[in-house]
Amino acid sequence: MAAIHDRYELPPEKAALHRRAVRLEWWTIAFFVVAITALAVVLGQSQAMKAAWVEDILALAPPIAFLVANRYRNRPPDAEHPYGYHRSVAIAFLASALALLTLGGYILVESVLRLVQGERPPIGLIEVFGHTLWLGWPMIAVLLATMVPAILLGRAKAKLAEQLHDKVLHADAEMNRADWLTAGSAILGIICIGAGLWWADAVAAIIISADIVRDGLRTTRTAVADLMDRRPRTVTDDRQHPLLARLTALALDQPWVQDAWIRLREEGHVFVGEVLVVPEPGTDDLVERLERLGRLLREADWRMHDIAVAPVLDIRR
Amino acid sequence: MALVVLSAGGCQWPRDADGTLDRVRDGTIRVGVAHDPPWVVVAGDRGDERPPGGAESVLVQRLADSLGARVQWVRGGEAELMTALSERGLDLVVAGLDAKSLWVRDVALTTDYLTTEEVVAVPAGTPTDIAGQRVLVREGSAEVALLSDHDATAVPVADLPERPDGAAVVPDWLVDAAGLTDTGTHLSSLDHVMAVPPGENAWQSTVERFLLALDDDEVRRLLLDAHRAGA
Repeated sequence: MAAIHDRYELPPEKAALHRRAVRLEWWTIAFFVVAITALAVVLGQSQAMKAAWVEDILALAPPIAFLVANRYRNRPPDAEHPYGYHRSVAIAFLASALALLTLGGYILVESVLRLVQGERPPIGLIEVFGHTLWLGWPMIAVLLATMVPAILLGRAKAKLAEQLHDKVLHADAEMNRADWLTAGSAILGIICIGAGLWWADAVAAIIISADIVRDGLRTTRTAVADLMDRRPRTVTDDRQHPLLARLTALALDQPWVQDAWIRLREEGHVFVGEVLVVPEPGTDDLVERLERLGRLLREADWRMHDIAVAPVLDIRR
Repeated sequence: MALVVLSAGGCQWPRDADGTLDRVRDGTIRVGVAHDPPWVVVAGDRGDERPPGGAESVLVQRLADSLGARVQWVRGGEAELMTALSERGLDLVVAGLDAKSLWVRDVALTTDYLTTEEVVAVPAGTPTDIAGQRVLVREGSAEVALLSDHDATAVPVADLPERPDGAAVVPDWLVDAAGLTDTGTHLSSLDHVMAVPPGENAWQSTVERFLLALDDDEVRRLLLDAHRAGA
């Protein structure tokens, strides 16, 4: 029996991981809102800090995209959306990838301009509780304080992303990596400014932002390819996903199957697709066998969500 | 950590990108001055060798003395002085600047050393409620418009009388000297700063350390002196 309006749920152990991911994303938003407010209050006038501020605002995009998609992804298919809502995750992934690319591009253009125009960052003194202090030190302290949570959040998310096959989470982990890398380069830059090397700040930012742009381009390419129904690839190392070969082998293993061809596409966490099978001539109970094959394929992996089985006389490749 | 030890150990930190502090110490400070009484009072024309007057000019001379430096005064308009400063053709510019100055893009503004406010003051014994009252205010100033927010009628005048006999808008340091009382209505405030070349962080820190050590009342006294000298 084929269930048409079936609703997809993650397997229990994955669902627990997913709940952890949702919690992590809420923490991320809380952290960045605090960081954005703190930066706005502490360092209003400085141009260099304004860049860090823009970065933090952009870093809000992936967790927000993740949480919005999370509200939709599990909705059952309805008359208007016969394929369900799984693709919302792919859209969130594209949004996160673009945010990452924008972040890298913004810092790259800005630092190149700063270097070309020979902009020399002034960092003077600040009076704290009656003591005068070089403003560079508190700036470094604020940057270090934002670096630590970004590193921890990024690491936790990267691990979860792999286990959940969640690309939005992965893009968000990349965003956190970009964030602490730029903070690190800013710290290096401030120390160099203190040493009288005005150009070092911009150079450090250029190197880091080039890396983020590369990352952003790769992620955006993947997001677009997923929306183009490219065959599934793994989240972390971007290789062919092994499931396709496994399912094909599974179908061909059936004694009554002469030939089989499968295509799969990613819809967020899950895979959907079609399988064409050429049954041996004179196979009995063909409809039952086809349905059993469909169930077998679906149960082969938690990501395998929906697969349509169609018998054909011949497959021309 | 090494850097903290280094800076505590007496080495210069932060350092200048261009060595301004080392050059001006026991040398010459090139100071741009633009007329903005009572902060800077520039008399005479460009070639005039006499030092300018005004509170900030006095402060600059004190700073120079503390560094054993001579001051070379350069007269000019604010725009040309700032352009010269951003190209490190000058070491310091004083022009009654405040922290909101748009030059912050091109030059480094120091930390603010005094906040002044434009207040509505009245002769002693008169009611302090200014709603519906006529208030004297210097014509062409921003306070003309601000007064209407307090339902007062602005009476723009070219020069405020030394001792106004009615409500008037005056800077906070002038209230007592003009024989007035503060009504508590403060129209605007300015955080006063000086300007140094960007990236000369040792020099900037030296100027800022000097400015932060200033006594506010002392600066207000200098302003009053400059105001009286001009009147």
